[in-house]
Amino acid sequence: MNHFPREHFMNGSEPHPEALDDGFDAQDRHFDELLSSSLGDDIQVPVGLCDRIFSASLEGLQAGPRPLPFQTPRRSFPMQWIGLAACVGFLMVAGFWMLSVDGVQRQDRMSDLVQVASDPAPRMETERASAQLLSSEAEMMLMAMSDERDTFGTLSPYITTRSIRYDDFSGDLVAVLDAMQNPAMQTYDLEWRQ
Amino acid sequence: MSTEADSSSFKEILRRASTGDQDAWRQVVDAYGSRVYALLFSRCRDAELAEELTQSTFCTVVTKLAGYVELGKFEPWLFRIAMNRLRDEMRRRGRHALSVANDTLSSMEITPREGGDQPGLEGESQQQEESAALREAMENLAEADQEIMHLRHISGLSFKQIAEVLQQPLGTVLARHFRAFKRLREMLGVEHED
Repeated sequence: MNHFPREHFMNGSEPHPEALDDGFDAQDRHFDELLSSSLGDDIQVPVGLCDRIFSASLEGLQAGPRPLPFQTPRRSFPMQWIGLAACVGFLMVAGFWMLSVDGVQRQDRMSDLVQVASDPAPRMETERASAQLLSSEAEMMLMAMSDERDTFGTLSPYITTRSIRYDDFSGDLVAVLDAMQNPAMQTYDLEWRQ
Repeated sequence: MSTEADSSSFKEILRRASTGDQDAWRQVVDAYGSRVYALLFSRCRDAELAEELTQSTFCTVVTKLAGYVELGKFEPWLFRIAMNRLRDEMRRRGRHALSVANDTLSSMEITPREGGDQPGLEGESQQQEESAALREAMENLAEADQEIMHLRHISGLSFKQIAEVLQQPLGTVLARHFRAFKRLREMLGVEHED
């Protein structure tokens, strides 16, 4: 269906539809004209419509044309290159600075790790301090919470006389408690360790 | 303003309106206010809503007029804004625009002709039946086809402009119009004479 639009009706206040092309016959054209004449017949334009439209849009008109985005005057070509070079230089300096800062921080982190690994003394002091922090009442409570009453009974003399401490068995309170709650491990194992 | 000379002069009017000339803007409103209103009313069948959307359309146009005058596509741009306003409003209201209300086509007189160029009338009752049939036929058209018919017969846009309003290829618009037109005639029982 070849179609060659005619533009003569453009911008008209009383437009008429573009004529149909050769793909339509005379009856089609008549039917088309009937549609054009009938479709808008019942549409009543309110009185004063254009006045109200004009009044409503007057504020926007008086505000003046607003500049469209990205329509600022273009800078000259050398200025664009200078700006681009400045941006690239800034990015390079920033990149070098970030790399240098990252390297220093990495070195500091490595030295801290080496220092911790080469000095075990603070760790032993910490364990000793934590053992002293556990009161006898807390130790009794922990023992009472154990399901192995026999084990508790066996160990209770030691606890009540404070002749030994739990860490005296294995040096690890957690290991002692695990042994007490483990049915397969008997009290003599703890005594043997002592 | 129905000739090419008038079209060029209208571009000058648009240019002046874009600079804040109230007289020029008034001419633009007078030229297109009724057309925009008619299109919107034909789509929503609500006079108040159609006027509200018409005013909204022109308020938008007046603030952006400067950026579109030079493109020479004022009419498609204007009607596309109007159609988008209507779609947004219908979406907001949660219902679809009434494509063609029953009242729209009540006055249409479609009579199958029998060899003559003039339509024949066979009584008022037959007219009513045919009008009802045409209403039903129009409502059975797809939404996009109805838009094309309204933009053509009510807004008076060319197929090229309709394609720009709907942002579809010209071939697609022509094909859809051709198919809708033929289907409308088939549904109305208007047969071609051989």
